[in-house]
Amino acid sequence: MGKLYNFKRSLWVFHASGGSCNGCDIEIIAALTPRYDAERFGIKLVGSPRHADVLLVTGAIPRDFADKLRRIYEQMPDPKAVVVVGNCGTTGGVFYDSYNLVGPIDEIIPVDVYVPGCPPRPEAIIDGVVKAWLKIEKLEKQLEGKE
Amino acid sequence: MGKTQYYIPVGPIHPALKEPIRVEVEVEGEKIVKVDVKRGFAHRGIEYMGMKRNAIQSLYLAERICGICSISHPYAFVLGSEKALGIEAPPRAQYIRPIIAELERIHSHILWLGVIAHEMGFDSLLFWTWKGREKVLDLLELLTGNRINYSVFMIGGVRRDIKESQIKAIKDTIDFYRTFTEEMKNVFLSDPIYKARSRGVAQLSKEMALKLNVCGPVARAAGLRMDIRQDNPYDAYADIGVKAIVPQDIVGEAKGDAYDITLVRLYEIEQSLDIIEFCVENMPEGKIMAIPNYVVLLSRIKKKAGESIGMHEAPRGEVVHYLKYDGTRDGPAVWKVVAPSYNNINTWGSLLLGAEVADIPIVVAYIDPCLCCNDRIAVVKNRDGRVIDYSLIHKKAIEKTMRVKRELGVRE
Amino acid sequence: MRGEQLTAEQVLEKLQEALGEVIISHEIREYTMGVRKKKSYKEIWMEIDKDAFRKTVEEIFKLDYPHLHFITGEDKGGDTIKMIYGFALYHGFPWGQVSIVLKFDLPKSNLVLPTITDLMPGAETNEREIREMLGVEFEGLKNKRHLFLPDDWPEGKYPWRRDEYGVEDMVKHTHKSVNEIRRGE
Repeated sequence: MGKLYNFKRSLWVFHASGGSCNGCDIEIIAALTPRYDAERFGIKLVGSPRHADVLLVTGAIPRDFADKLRRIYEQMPDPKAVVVVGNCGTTGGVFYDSYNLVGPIDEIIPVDVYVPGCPPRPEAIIDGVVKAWLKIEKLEKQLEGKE
Repeated sequence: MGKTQYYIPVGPIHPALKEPIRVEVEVEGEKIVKVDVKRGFAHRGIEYMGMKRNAIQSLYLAERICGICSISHPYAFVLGSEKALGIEAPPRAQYIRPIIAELERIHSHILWLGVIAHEMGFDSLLFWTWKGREKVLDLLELLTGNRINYSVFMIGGVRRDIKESQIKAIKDTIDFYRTFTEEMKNVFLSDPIYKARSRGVAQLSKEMALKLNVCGPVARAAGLRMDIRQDNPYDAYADIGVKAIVPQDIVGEAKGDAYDITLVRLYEIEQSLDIIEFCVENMPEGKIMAIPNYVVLLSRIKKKAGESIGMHEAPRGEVVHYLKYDGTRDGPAVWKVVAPSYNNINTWGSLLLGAEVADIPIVVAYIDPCLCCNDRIAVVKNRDGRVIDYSLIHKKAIEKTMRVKRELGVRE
Repeated sequence: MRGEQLTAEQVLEKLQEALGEVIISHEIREYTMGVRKKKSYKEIWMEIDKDAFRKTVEEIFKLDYPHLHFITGEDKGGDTIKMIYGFALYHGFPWGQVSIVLKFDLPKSNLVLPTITDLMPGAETNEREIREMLGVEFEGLKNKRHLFLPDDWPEGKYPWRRDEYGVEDMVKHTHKSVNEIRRGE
């Protein structure tokens, strides 16, 4: 794993649940609570995609949610990264033949990091966010280079 | 004239609810005058998929209806299947199942206590309760191999035995939660601000509870003595003689508000500890699966026709699965799932009417909505209107808590 | 609102008295539970005439204010849909809850049923779900908006139907089966 050196602020995360079973969502919240305490690294869950650097998506994305998810993604400022949490967002998982699901998520928005597991442990989710962090640093460098 | 009505959509995406649902309310000043709840943001069509798969695959699907009640749906599914197919689980399995189910109840109730504290603006309380909750997840991981989605139930038994060494861990955890629940009771029930913020909020009468068809802690807080573990017992619950926990037995009367539901949930954690203790002490020896070979199990299912209702009391209320096996395929021919939030969300309409904007988070959270259970499909429709986002409502809720604090003269 | 507690046999007897011929067949099922202390509870399963559905429900409401477990329906692909209603009487009495399951055939040419939301407002959720999942129309149901399906869901598509109104063509497969991979699809 590379070093985190360039990022000038703490990392803010927005969480969107698109038809997941809640298992991953609960583990995301658990990652913020004292046992795992992601906030000590400055990783914070925020209430609006406009404030967020990283988008956490769970679930296999029901029919009407696809459009909503695209809009959330577009609202986020650059540089940004998307982390898919859980099996069903990654491949469809156990919900592979539903009439109302249009996932997996990478067919709707570009995805940078996959965190497999049903559900993944909070450590794995934090690890996924850190990987996205590295990616954002790289993107930010590129953006700075352009200016 | 002079009245300005604002339209406030709450949801479907915001951090506090964790799951998507949309509550549209119209307000005059601070009073709510019209409510519309739009569900269906997480519908996945699980029953449809289950009717095309075999029974063991459907059981795994049932587990993924909801990640918090990830033992309740399989429990109702296996009970229903066993009733329909005439399979009886071995006695040891009948004692292991309630242990897992009650551990889940403990973690789910503590989760709710944290969420309601967060909605009122007590974030340190959220972190404290969730820190305590990790202990039961550790035990579940030790017993089943996973923190959530345990995959431990099977038609005709359980897949993992409880060993002697694990029993010690269970007993230690029970001791820990005896103290922790006592502390939580102190914090929640005797705190004047918590009482002021929850007394009279989301008040549901006994009659309304019957009419709105609610179940679980919501019905019990309103004074209805209903609990599947008592009404139609199964497994070890039949030996224990579980009694529904209602506020009138604890404090003399049931008001059916957010305070009473806190009371019910806190006392249910203690009840769960008693049940686990009983099961651990009286666990019979023997095998854990009636039909250990899955191929044999599936071929037996294929040959047998039958239908039944499987019911389990989940942390949020009763989970009902209707199952029909038609004797031609190895999976359910008809499968209908009714989760507790399906019925409990009925209360939002009438409870939000006339309430204050600052009370929305509490009314919404008090039933412990579990939309994954409820929905199983998703819809988002955009509507015009003045948008006040949820963080503002949450802020209002915190402001009210602060105001109450000042009025009561409580010092930090 | 609550009635005096009766046993399953007494409930069946009362219903038979009030309804007579309408009950086509009936069965009391007994389930024994428990390991050390064996005890049993009973459920009533009835096949009724579809025209007498509303009257049957009214009779059930006279005995006790019930709890509605579920409403569902089975479509085998033929000309009828089998409707299944699950009620529970005397919930709250230890070992005393009596579940009553009503079943009747509804012809697909006339998928209309009277609503029970006037007796139990909470049944609205169930009826709206059945309406969108099976296409059964409820007479007197006030809120007919979609419950779980999108508002722009195509007309005449019902997920639980196994005939030309089903949703087979809307399914998106995200995994390939071993056979599909072998065939090179």
